[in-house]
Amino acid sequence: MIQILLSNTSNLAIYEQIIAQIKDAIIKKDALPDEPLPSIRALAQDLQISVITTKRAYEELEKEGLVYSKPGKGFYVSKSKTEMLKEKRIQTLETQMIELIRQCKNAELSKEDMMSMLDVLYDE
Amino acid sequence: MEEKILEVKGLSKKYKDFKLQDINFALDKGYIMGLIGRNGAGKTTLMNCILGKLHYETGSILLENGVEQFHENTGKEDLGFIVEPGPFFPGETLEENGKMLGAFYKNWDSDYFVSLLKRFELNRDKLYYDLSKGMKTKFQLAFALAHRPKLLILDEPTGGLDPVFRREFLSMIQSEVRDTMMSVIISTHLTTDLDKVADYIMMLDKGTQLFYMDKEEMLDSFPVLSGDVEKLPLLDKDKCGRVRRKGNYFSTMLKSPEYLKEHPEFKTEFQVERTSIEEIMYYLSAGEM
Repeated sequence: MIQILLSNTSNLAIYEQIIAQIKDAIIKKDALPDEPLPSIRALAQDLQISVITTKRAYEELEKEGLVYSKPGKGFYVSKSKTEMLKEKRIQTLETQMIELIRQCKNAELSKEDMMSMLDVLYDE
Repeated sequence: MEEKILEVKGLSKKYKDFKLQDINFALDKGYIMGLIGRNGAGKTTLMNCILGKLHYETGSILLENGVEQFHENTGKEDLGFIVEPGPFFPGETLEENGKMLGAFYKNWDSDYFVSLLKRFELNRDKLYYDLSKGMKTKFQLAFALAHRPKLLILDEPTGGLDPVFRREFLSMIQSEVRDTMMSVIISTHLTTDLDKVADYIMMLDKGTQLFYMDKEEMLDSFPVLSGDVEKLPLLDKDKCGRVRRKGNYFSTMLKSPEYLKEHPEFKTEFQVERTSIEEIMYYLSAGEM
C-alpha cells in the first residue's frame, strides 16, 4: 500500500511531494510492479487536494516511465524502471555522503570517529 | 473523453459604471473552478449571468449539451447555488422551505434533504429567520445538494464559517463532486480554500478576464522573482506585475512563464519561486492598494 502524507511546510509543491513519496514507495517495494495506484479522484479526496494536482503528479510519473496508464482503468506501477530508480537514488546518496565526509574532515573527525558514529546511529 | 457542463463565450454585461467584458471559458463535469478577483471585479455579476438572474447583451452561456441558458428554462433545474440573499422564506421552518422550494426541481430528494439537515446539525423545525450566518450557509448547501445539481454555484460561501466547518464544507463538496461528478464554481477571498480544492482558476480584474487555467499550470505560469533592488532594471516593467519593495530588496511577479524561458539568466540573478493563489492575486491586481 502506498501511504502519502503531505506537509504544509515542505519546500516542495504538493504534486512534487506526491511524486517523491510514490517513488519512495516503489523503491521500498511498498508498491510492486503492475500494482494499481489509488485512483486520481480517490487520492485527491483522501489528501483533500484538487483533482488537477493529483493528475499532474501521475502524469509526471508517467512521463518519467515509472507508472503507466490503462485507458478507463487508472495508473499502474511500471516494471522496468524500478531498478533504474534505485540506482539513481544510490547515486544521490553517494553525492550526499561525499559531502558528509568533506564536512567531517573539516571538523577534523577521523575515519574511525565517523565509523563509530555510524555504528551508534545506524541501529537507533 | 471529458464532458462539458458549461461553456461561456464572449460574454459581456454592461452597467452604467461597470462592464463585464468578453468572458470565455469552459468547465468539464466533475471539476471545481475558483473565481478570484478584488471586490467589484465582476465575480457576482458573472455568477448571476450563469444562474440566469441577469440578462447579458452579448455572448452566450451554454449549459450541458449546448443548451443556451438564456432561452431554456429546463437547464436551470440542474443549477444549484449559494448566494446572498438566498430565495428562502424567513418566516417558515427549514422543512417547509425545503418542501415549498424543492417542488420546483424535478430531482428533489426530500430524504436526502432531511439527512443533510441532520448531518449539518440543523433543526428542521427552526425558522429560517432565526438562523445564524453560518447556519444559513449550511442550510443553503443542504437545499442545493438535495436537488442534485449538475453545476453548483457558490458565491463567497465560506465567509461566515468557522475554520473547522470550512474544512468540513470543502471536504463535503469534494466528496459530492466525486460521487456525482457535479461541477462547482466557487468565488472566495479565502484563497487558501482554493489552494486546496480548486482545479481551475479564473481571475477577474475590473470586469475583464486576466486568465483562466488549470491551477497547476497557473502556479507554473506566474513565478515570483525577488532580489536586490539594483538588479530591478534587468526586468522589463511591462512584463511584470506590481513591484513590492522592502529596503534594498524587491519582489515582483512575471506575467508569463515565457519571459522567464527567454531569459535563463534570471534564475541565477534572482530567486525564483512558485507561489500561491493569494500571491498571484496580489501581484496581478491592477491599481491602488
